[in-house]
Amino acid sequence: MRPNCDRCDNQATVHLTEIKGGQKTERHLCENCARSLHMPQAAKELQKLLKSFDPSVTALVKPSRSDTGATCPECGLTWSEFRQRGRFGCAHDYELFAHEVERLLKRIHGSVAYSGKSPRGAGRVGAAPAVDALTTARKALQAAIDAENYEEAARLRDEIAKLGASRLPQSGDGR
Amino acid sequence: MTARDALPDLKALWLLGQGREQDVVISTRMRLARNLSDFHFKSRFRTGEAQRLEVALREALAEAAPDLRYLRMHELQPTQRDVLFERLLVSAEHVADASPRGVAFSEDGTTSVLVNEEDHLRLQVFAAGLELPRLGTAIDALDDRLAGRVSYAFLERYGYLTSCPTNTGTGLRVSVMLHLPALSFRREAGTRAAEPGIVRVHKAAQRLGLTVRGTHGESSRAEGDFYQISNQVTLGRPPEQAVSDLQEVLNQVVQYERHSRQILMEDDRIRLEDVVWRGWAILRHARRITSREALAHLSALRLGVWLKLIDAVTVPTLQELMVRMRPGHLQHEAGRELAPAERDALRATLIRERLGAK
Repeated sequence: MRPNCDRCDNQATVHLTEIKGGQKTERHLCENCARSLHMPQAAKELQKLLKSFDPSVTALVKPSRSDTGATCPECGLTWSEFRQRGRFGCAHDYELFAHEVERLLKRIHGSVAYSGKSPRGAGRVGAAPAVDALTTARKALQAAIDAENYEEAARLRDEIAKLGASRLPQSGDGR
Repeated sequence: MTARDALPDLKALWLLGQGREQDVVISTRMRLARNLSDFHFKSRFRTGEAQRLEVALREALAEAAPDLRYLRMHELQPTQRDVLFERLLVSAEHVADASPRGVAFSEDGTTSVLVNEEDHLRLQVFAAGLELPRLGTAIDALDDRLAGRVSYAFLERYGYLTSCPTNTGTGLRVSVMLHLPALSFRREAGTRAAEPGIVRVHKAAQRLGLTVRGTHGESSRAEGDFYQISNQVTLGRPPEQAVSDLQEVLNQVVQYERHSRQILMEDDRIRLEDVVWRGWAILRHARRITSREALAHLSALRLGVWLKLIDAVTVPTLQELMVRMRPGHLQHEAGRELAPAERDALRATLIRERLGAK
């Protein structure tokens, strides 16, 4: 059983251990409270302003601490530009910003596991679907580790293990 | 080709035909959002890229769906674009845009493909009444034919990649247009059930990840009591499930509206008759009428026909008027642009003539 947030009744997902003068204090916060405690005032104002673009999306895009400031080599989009407009610039953004995309899609749809048909004519981006899923998950894992988001990392690690396992019979039987 | 014959004949339009549960359900629409993997998304097009993509997709469509007629939006007159919008063939965004873009559609308007809208491709199919499974099969077939000719942006993990993350996954949006006059009817103080049923429909839909909106996006009482229910979630569950969930909700809403109509007939018959016959009187005698007012009365007449309170008019005639009275159609028929006051006068004349009045 995980603890509830110190400030509200939501489940705590952020756990802070502070050691000050040999005194150890633990704090458990939900995502919302953690953000409101740690976000500088200027960032709050900016976020309010950005919401005016496409509130259905930009309101859901949260500032990411793992945002490395990367620019997509294909289309030139940065994550902070995405936050302003709520629109991707090309298919590669989904992989380049895998960690942020993962969180965003989960917030919008409640899940990220795609279930449905695959196109027959998928090209570059969808050339080898099984490998793709694995590659995308691995990138998301690396990003989660970089962001020290260990809960997310653990979940992705399990998923990668599952994806890897499901491919073994195909590569193992030699046909 | 003249301005007039660029567009299909209104008589062939599916919206004027028969459908299932049509006393409550006006129409069903399904759309798929698709992008090509070897082009940037719209917000990041390079110079000339929109043009190249438009040409490539026009050619792909000519092969994959030779039965569809293709028009370049940017080469049409403003009123022609409005007509396409009023027949639901294109979106408001597609009308307003200025970049190279196109639309392919069938003569009866049941299929349309938007090229260079927010996504490279928006596939749409329509039917009168409630038609979820059949439309699902139709849009799937069109999607497969296109997928054989272009390379879709797709990842096994996220599904179809779209410009906006709210469409990522299946890219499928199912919207069903409903006529809910009894559920919207506000009861007079002192009668039973003070809260209009539509409020409860809103709440129930929200819990199920569906949205209920007026035709123009209103969230409270919609113009003419026409509402749209659509799915929001495109990831995490197979499209078949999204469709069957929606079907279940719709069945309940249809029953709820029918039940409310029955109660209204028992409790408030005179008031109901009054609304219907006043609508009839105004539409047959007005010399100037706005779209909004006309829609309210046409909506009342539609309800009156189903409840057998009036038999002087048929549902197809009402459906036809709801399309023809709109600004684009009025101006297209007149062959020129009209000022709002002129349109109101022309609208009143059109309706009077169609309802057999002088």
